[in-house]
Amino acid sequence: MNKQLLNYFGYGTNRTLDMMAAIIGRKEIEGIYGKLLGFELCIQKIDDIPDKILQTAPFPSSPRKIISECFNNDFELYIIRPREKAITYGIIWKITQQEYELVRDWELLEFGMQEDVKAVAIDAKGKIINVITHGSLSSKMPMDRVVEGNDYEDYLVPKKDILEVAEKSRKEYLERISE
Amino acid sequence: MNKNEFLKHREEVVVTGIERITRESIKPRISEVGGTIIILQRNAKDDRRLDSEDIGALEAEAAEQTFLHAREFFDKIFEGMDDKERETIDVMIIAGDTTLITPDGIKSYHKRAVETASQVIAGLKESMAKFSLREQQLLNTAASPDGGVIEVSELRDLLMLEKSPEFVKFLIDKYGTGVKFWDAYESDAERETRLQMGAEGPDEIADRVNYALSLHAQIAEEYHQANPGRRLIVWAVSHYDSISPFIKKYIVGMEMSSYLPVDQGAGITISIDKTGKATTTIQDQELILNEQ
Repeated sequence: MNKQLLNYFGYGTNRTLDMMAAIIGRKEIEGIYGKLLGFELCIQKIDDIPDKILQTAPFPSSPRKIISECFNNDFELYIIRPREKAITYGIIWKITQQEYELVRDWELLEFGMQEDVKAVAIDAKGKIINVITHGSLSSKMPMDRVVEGNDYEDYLVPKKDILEVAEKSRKEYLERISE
Repeated sequence: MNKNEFLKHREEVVVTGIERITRESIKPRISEVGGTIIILQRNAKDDRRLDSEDIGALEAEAAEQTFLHAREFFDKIFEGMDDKERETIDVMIIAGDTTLITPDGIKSYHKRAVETASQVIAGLKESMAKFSLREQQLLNTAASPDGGVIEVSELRDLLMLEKSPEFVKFLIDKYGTGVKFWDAYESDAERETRLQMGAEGPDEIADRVNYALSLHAQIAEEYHQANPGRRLIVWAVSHYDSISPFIKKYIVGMEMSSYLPVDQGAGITISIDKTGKATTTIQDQELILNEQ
């Protein structure tokens, strides 16, 4: 079973079990503490989110527009970008490829809000782990502020609100791909 | 060492006499305990025949040569150590996860850097078996779900082919898809247009590879802190268009618009001692790469 699972590095709100359960629809997920090396954790405000409509998007809308329709203008999100010597703290979750597709949908990768990142993390025992996650590969990505250390706030949006939107979004995605 | 850069841009240092990077610059070196050896290698030759059934896959001969070269490299390292010292070596094999895309429309699912690195793993495994190293000393065994190559984004080939189709089209319209296209790209002849269109150029790629090596040094540092008494080899496979500008800018201080060939399967070896001092030897010239 484990051979078929990916090492997904969840950071920001995705390091919490409740958020992951809402995104992938499974509550029992194996996870261990990990550090993602060479990436800094940033917070974007609504104006930092891309407003371009990609030709490859599942439907014609920009990430900023989609976010604006679901949340208010105070919305903020966690994202990573490359920076030498930086560390982002999170959880290395064991999930399937299909579950990672749900994460990709939630993070609007097909709409260009973020991109796939393959990287190296290190766990609490000093073991090296090849992880997949999402973020920006540009060190110039627009952002509001950088978050240092492990003791950061899990939820930037009221927990109840974001979990509800994630549950709804997962159901819509599953309906969309079954059509 | 500058805290924000692994290596500094060598504007004031020009190393002469280095005109080509060959396999000879991948030198078997034994690090001290707490030290790290980083190999930066170009992918082996892949099949570009338009009528091929497996376009983008490594050519059989190139795959075999890569395997033999890696086996010989590790044989030489392990031969130079006694049994106790061999127990202190760990190796991780990394590669950029680029699939093949070319300006003339070739697309393939094959990842030539990853496939090159797979041959390196095969060569390493034979050498490990010969010298009775433990399977766990290949860190990939535990690092990835299938124990294979550790795939990373920062060692990707030209990002413009995937991310900047507008700029690629501009170059094709002006230069075609052959040698002139690559000359224009490599000499950054259309820099202004490139910047307007937000495409990555040779200068930015050099910075990206420098970031990748900084990251490998950071991984090594974290690894040594958590696992004292070890020696680490990081073997990283990338591509010509990433390695050549990096060596020009950060190793030998050449003009970025000049041509520095890197043979297929060739590369360089960087030694980092436990204080962080980085050195390399290319064509018998030993170069100190950072200041302490």
